[in-house]
Amino acid sequence: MRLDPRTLGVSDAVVQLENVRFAYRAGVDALRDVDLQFERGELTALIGNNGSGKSTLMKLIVGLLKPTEGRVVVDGADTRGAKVSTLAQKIGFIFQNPNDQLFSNSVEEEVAFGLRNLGLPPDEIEWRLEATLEQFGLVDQRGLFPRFLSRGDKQKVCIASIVAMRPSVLLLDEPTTGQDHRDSRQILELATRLNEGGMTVLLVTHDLINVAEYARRVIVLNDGVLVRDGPTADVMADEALLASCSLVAPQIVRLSLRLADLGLPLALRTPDLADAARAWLRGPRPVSPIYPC
Amino acid sequence: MSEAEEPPADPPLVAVRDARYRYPTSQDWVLRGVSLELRRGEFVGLVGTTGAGKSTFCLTLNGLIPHYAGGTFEGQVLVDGRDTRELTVADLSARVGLVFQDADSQLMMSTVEEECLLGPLSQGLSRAEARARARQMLDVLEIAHLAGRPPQTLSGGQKQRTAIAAVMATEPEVLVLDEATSELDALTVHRLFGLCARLNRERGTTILIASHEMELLATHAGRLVLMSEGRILVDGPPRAVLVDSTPFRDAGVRLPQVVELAERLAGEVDWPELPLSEEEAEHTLRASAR
Repeated sequence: MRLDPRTLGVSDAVVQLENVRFAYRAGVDALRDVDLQFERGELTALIGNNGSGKSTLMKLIVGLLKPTEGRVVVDGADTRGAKVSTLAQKIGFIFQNPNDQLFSNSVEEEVAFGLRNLGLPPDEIEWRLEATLEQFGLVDQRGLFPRFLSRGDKQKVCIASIVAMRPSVLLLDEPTTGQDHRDSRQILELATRLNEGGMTVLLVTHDLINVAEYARRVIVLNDGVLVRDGPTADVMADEALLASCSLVAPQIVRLSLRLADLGLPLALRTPDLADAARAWLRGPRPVSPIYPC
Repeated sequence: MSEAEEPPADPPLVAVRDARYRYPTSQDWVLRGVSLELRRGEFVGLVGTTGAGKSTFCLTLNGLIPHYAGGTFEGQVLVDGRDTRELTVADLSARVGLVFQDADSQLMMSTVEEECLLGPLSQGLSRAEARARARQMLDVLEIAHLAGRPPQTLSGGQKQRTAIAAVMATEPEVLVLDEATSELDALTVHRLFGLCARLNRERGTTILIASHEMELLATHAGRLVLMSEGRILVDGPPRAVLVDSTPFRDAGVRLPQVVELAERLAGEVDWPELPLSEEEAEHTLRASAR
C-alpha cells in the first residue's frame, strides 16, 4: 500500500480534491472519482478535450462550483464553506479572454483595484502597486487604457492585477487560445518566472506544444474521469493514451518517438531534439547491435 | 514577389487586386493593398498573427466586405471573372463557402439538420436532395446524432462542426475556413484537414484555410501565404517559402517544428530538401546516421 502523504502530515498540498464527483444535472456526472493534489510550487497542465471535465474541475478549484460529493480544499479552506471572495485571495483566476477581466480606465487602476478590495492600508497598496508594475514591466504603460493594449499585454495586465494580491495559486484558463505565437510565449514565460519565484501555476489548455514546453506535470481528463497524472515526458510518450482522449502529441515528440531506436531520448522541445541529434551525429556511433541468433 | 503566370486556359477562380479596406470603426487600413489569385483546385494556407488582416481578407472573398461590413473598400475582388460589388452575397456564397472563426455568428436555424439543409435548399435543391447532402456532411463530421438538437445548446466544438458541415453541404467551389477549428480537439482538427485534402483531391474543391496549425498547413497546403499588418509578405509552396524563416519569425508566426529542427541542424545534416513532416525528417536523419 502506498503511503498517503496527507495522513502522514508532511504534505505541502495547496489544493486537494478528495473523491470529487460533480453533476450539473442529477444522474449525469460531469466529473467523477477525482482524487488529486497540487503541491506548492508546481507548474502543472490540465489537459483534455471539450467535454472532458476540464472546465468543471477548474470551477471546482476556484469555488465557483461546489462538489456534489467529496471535497475540495484550497490552501486549508474547504470550498463548500468558504466564500468566493475568500477563495479569490487564495486562487488567482485568469480568464481565457482578457476582455472579460479588464474594466478599469488605466493599467494602474486595474492593478490597484484588487489591492483596495483586500482592504489593505494605502501605503501598502501604493508599495505593492509600484512593485507589481515594476515586476511586470508595465511602468511605462501605467496610464494607458487597458483595452487599447495588444492582446498579449492585456493578459499581462490581468496577471499583474491578480499576482499583486499574492494568491497561493495562479490558474490560467486557456491562456494561449486566440493568441498568436509571440503573445503565447510572452504569457507562458511570465508564468514560468512566477513559478520559479514560488507561485503554484495551473495551466488549463488544449495546446500540447505549450504543455510539452512549459509544464512539468500533466493531468489528463477524459469524459469526466482523470485518466492520467504524471511527468510531462511520460504522458507525451503515451501515444495510445493521448489518442484515446483525441489528443495528439506535438510533432517534435512524435519525431523523437520514431527515432527512439537510435538511442535518442524523448524530446519535448525542438532545441532538445536538435541537441540530442547533434550529439548523436557527432559522437562515436554505437557499434551495430549484435543480436543472438 | 513574382507575378503569377497566367496560363490562358485557366483563369483564376478568385482574383483579389490591390484590395484595401478600413472598417467603419477602424482608423487604419486593415488591408493595405492585397493581391492574390486563387486557381481552381488549389489548397492554400493563410497564416499570420492575430490582427494581420486574415479574417478581413476572408470576408472580401464572398462579398461580406464591402456589402455588409460598411467601411471603405478599394481595389477589386473578382470571383469567376465577376466583380463582387456587382454580385449579391447570396450569389457569391454558392461559390465561396466561408466558415467563420465564431460559429455562433453563423448558426441561426432551430436544429443542426435544418442548419445543414438551409444552404442546399436555397440553392434550389429538392428537399430529398438537400437532405441527402446534409446527412452526408453530418456523418462526415460525426454529428449525425445531434441532427435534432438546437445549435445553441451545443458545445463550442459541436457548433464549429455544425458550421463546417452546413457550409460543406452547399458544395462550394471555394471552401474558406477562417480559424474555424479553434475549439475542436486535436484529432478532429487532423481529420478535418484530411477531409479538406480529400475534397480538394477528389472533387477539385479549392481550399483556403486561415489557421495557426503550422504543421498541418505545411503538410497539406500546396501554397502558403503569410500576411502581416494588412499585407501579403510571402506567397509560395510551403517547402520553398519556409526555407527562409525570417519573414515568419519577424511576423511572429511559429514555424512547423520539423522546419525549426532542420534549421537548427543545418550545419550537421545535409537536408536534400526542407522536411515538412516528421516522416521526412526521420528519413533524412536516419540516412545521415549511416
